[in-house]
Amino acid sequence: MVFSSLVYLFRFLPIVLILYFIAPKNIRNAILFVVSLIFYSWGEPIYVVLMIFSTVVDYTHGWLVDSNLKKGNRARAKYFVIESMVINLALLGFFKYADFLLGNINNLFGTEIPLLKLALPIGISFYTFQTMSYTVDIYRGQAKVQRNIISFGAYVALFPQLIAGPIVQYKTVAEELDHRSESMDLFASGVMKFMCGLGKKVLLANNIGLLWDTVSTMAPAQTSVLAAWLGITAYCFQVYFDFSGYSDMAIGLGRMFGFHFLENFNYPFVSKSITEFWRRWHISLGSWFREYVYIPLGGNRVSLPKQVRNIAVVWLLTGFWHGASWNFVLWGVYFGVFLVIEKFFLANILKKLPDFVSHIYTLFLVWVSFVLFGFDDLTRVGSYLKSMFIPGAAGFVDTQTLYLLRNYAVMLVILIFASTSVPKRLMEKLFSAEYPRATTVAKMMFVAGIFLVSVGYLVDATYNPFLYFRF
Amino acid sequence: MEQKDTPKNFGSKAVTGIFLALVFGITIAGFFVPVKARSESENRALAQKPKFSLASLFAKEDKEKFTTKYEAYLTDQFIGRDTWISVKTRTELLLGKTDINGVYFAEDDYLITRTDASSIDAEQEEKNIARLDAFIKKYSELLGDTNVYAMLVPTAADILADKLPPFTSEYDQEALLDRVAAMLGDNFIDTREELMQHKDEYLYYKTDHHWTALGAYYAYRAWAQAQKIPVREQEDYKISTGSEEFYGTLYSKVNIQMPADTVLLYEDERSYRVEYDMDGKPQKSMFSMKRLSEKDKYMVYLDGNHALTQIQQQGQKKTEKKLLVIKDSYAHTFVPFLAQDYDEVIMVDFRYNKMPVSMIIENYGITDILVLYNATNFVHDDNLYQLER
Repeated sequence: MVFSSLVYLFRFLPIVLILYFIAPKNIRNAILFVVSLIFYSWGEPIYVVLMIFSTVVDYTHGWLVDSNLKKGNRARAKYFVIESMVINLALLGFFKYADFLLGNINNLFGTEIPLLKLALPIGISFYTFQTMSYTVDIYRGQAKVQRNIISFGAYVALFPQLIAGPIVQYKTVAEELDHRSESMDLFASGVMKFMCGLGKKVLLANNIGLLWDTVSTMAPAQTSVLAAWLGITAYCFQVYFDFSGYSDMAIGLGRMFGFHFLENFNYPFVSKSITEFWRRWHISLGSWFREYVYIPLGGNRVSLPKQVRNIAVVWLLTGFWHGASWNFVLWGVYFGVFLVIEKFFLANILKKLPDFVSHIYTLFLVWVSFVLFGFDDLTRVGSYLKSMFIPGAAGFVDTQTLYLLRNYAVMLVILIFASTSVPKRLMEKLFSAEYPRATTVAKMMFVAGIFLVSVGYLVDATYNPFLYFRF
Repeated sequence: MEQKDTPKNFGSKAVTGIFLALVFGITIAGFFVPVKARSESENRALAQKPKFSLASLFAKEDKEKFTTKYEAYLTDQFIGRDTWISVKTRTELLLGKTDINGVYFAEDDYLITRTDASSIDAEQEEKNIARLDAFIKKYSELLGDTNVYAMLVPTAADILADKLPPFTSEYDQEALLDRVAAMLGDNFIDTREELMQHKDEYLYYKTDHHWTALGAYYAYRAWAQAQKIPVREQEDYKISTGSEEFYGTLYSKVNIQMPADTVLLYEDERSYRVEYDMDGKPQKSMFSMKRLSEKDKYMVYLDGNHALTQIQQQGQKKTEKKLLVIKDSYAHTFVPFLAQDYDEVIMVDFRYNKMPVSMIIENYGITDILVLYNATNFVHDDNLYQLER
């Protein structure tokens, strides 16, 4: 199930709200666990088995790690950390990467091993990363073991961040799993956050996604230079608003139930370097890799060649995490290369340059990277890049491009505006404590407005894709 | 402890309140709305509540799944469905969109179907043109060169091109018609001149993708001239208003308040026996008046789409001519204008009728043939292979 659907907003959510808030505190985790399983199984019921399997395996391993630590047997504890990682990665590897591997073997050796063609269990990349953080956090003494398997299950399956993140590290919610306090203020701030996210997803991302769909399916020869740039701009915005909208909805829902999840996006498109971009884009994934891969490898406290190796490992994995396909690997490598370049000399130069130059530098590289992200067919990546830089039969601009521009100009202005922190700062100014009543009315109008228009779009529902099937 | 309504607290209550009111209000209201079998404005059957079973829950195919069906049901039966869709349309217009759900918002309140050049399957187009060419040539030889015709009617997007928003890249119907005209010569009835001359008149519905009876009348003039038979004037028909409350298919796609279309009926004085799909229930008129009380009032003309429609002129038969019309729905307004020139007109719709054309021609003793499609439909249609059979 996805949040931006009628069945979620008018069936699942009202039922969950009632069940959760009439229930006594001590069974609220059980309710979250059960409804999360239903949420998860809505699209593919059979994979709920996988979720329960994950829960049991990681719960057991957490307990094994903890009890061995208490007995002073660190080596054995470490063994169980590794075992849990192997199981989690095997799960992820089997469901997500097996066909990629087989396909490559077939290509390389001319064999004809049949592909498994398994449907990717939704959100598997997110929850396996979460559960891996659990045993590691215990091993490192950063979190206490969770004795209650239901509470642990609620953490693994928690529906708000289950299918599209943010990737919540166990230690950041350990306390709130057992002792959280829901409140009206927190609920209301959750509502505001959820509405921001719903609007981003349904009103902005879906809308501009149509432009990308149009341009990306045009014949390369018929794509004017401007259309290609317009298309990739649309795609960058679509991915950003879709993904960050989803994260906002997750964070908002978390607050309604008393959780504080960390922010996942922080206006990435205002960045002035690639390094900064990745500090602002999909923050929970970046921190996960830093915490559980980069730092354990030695981070930047090792020799220069090893630092480069560490960055290379992290970015190969980051790319590969996004999808089992070469374009994603290249996408990761692409960023890895620029991060290394920036780290060792470009960063200092960028700092001295005027802001707009470093902005343009960053956006240009990010825009180009999304061509890699957008097509799993590498020849298509090539032909699209060609359309962007070399005028073909359609020239620099043609009537079709003008038509698209005419139809999406207003939307693009809104998107540019919305991808900066300007709206937020405006809101803070307007929603000041000086005019509490006016602020309240404005907030209510915001909630009702976004909600009603979004429902209009969902009822019409000709276009409501879910981008994270690959993750 | 009693908490006072501090400003912040009050704000939170209000925000929480309106959110819950919306979620629960709409959910609960939904339970009181009766389930509808079909949507009048969208003119289609609506999804019904699926029956729950383990088999459907674990179905392999997505569209067989209980959950998929349930979501379709929820969307289709959503309370105030039409209003929600108009909310979306209005938002899109506010955002400066000039086409929504494949419909242009053209000048003078015209809704016009969008057929972008890039949406055309060139292979299908080529096949269809070749099939038409082969068919016309084959039957010109069999039935006589002056007995076999094709008429491809330009749609509103072509004739009313000035009304379209700027920078559209519509499929070039002119190029198609030029090409087919050159290919078929005198066997092609080119309606463009007549329609263009009168393009300021009411040739196309504003809310529907069809042409009006007036549009069809001008096409009939082109037809009569090509046949070299005397052209009947509009005054020769008894013109009556069928309905002034017609909201067509394009309206359904956008669901926004706009003026309704008027349906006019052009009747002649002859009497006919009209039978649909050989159902044994002959009608006395080419106009199916009961359809005027339905949503799709265009169906008043020859009762809408049927696999086989048979129109026999009653009384004195003297023409000895039997016309076969291979057609899409544009023919429904057109055929009533020429029915009196034939003893019998047989209309065949390839979408529903899979009987080989050669057999139909033989069985009904056909003497004349007309292939009539609107230009964009002709290019898209994937049933024209039946011309070869």
